[in-house]
Amino acid sequence: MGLDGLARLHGLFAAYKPPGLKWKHLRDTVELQLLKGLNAGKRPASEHRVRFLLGPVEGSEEKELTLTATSVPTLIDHPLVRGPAFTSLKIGMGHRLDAQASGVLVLGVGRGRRLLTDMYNAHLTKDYTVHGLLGKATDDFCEDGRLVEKTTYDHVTREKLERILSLIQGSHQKALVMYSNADLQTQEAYEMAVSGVLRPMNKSPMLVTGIRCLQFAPPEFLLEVQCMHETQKQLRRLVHEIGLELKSTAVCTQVRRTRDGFFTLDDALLRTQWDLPSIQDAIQSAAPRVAAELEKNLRPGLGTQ
Amino acid sequence: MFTCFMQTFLELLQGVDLSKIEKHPDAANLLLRLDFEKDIKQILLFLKDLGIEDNQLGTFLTKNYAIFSEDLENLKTRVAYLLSKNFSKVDIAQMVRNAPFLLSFSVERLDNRLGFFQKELELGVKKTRDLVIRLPRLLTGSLEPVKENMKVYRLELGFKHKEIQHMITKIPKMLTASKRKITETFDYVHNVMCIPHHIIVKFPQVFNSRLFKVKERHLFLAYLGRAQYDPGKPNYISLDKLVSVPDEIFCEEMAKASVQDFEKFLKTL
Repeated sequence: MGLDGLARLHGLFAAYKPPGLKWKHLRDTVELQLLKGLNAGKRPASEHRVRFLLGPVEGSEEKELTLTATSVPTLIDHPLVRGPAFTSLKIGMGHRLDAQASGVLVLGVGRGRRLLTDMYNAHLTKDYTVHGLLGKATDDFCEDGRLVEKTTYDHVTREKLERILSLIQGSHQKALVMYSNADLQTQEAYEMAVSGVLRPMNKSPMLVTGIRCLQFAPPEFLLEVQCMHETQKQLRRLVHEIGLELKSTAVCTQVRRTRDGFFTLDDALLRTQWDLPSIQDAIQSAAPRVAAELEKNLRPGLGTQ
Repeated sequence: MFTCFMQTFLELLQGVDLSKIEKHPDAANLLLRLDFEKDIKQILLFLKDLGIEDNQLGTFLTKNYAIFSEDLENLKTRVAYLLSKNFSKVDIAQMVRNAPFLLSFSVERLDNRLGFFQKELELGVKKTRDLVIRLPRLLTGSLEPVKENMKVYRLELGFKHKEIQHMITKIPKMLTASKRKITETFDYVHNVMCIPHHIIVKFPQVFNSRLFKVKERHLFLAYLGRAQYDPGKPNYISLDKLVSVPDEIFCEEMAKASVQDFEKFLKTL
């Protein structure tokens, strides 16, 4: 099972990173669990070797020891001599999440690591839910950072917030068109922009393609953000800036990634599911979707250069 | 040549993990220089006499292969010393099995260690003996972390001496746990879950469990409104059950929800 298990372990899968866990620890834990599963499988049968051993010959009168040829298993492949069959696995990481953020994290095993680069080059958007708290400002925009300022927030209403959000979306839309290097005078680029497919296919600063308010219960509010080329710190800074625009202050209490490209929360594996059979199943079920999406995104003609 | 030597080794004692011994730099030299008749056989017979079974010898020797270079007389003196301290033969066999390096320590060192634990913990002679039998690693490991942890429990976490004694007799592993883990666990349990000292003393298992498990389960119960840790009130949930039961029983009995709901909740954290 060891080698067959390894054969089925090539591809992409998504794990749910809980808050408080560093992404590197997650990768190391997944690697350890996979190695445990692979080493528990059957090893290939050991080779035999002919050796001449001393032994009594049956049916002879004298009690003499003579050499007889016997086939003995060699000890080179014995598990207690060689050690475990698998000692390391190559696992690659998709878009990173910092320690306090949580959510969908894409990992690639074996040949799937090449698909990770393809996924990066496809420049797909990601979905986040961001929880914010009005009334205070800290130095690192998180709730437990050093407090810088405290303000009132009674004057903040849902309409004001939504007005600010639409302003942000508008300005990012302009930046989106600029960074995609598309000439909007052409029919093709115009159609793409209308259908929402237009996006930059090379490096650019953080771009928010969509932002809306899901819940507003002062002092807390919940935003849903679709963005690309972001880091979680920039998302927290966004919350801070929204607070400033509202003439109050805000910090970010939780950043959670709900979708990374085509991997959603339903595909993400929880901590209890980080073992060999669940990961193999996840890779199998995600494989057709991954292939279809990457094929669609890397087809020539869709690039906006 | 090494393979031929290993064949005799393996035929006699199944279970010695040579791949692990190979990782130590001087092991190979030591083992090849031994003569079977003189050194190995006597020490093996001595260990079997002590009460270690054949199948347990394998794991023992994987950890402490250097025991073959010890003098048989020294080993006998150390066992006699332990017997004189009223450890029974069965207890000594169990201690040696759990802490393979025990017999490689000299009598003075063992004496110092036992004396330290008796003075530091101020438990009676019998309780110290039971503690050491349960966790013989205390005698073979370093003493600095234990001193550090005792200070943490007393000064930083604010437990009284009697409370620390009670917790240690229940969970001896607390003495060797890492300081960061202890402080983080206590911080969460005392400040976030609002559990007072006297209840933590009754359930010290919470220091032995993973912090993320405690956090996840507590947040789920709080979300459902079932986070009741006061024994006086109804629907009380005890700390030891919170950390020790598997997920299915936790969901069914304490949270009264399904495992799918728990998983959905975990994905919202």
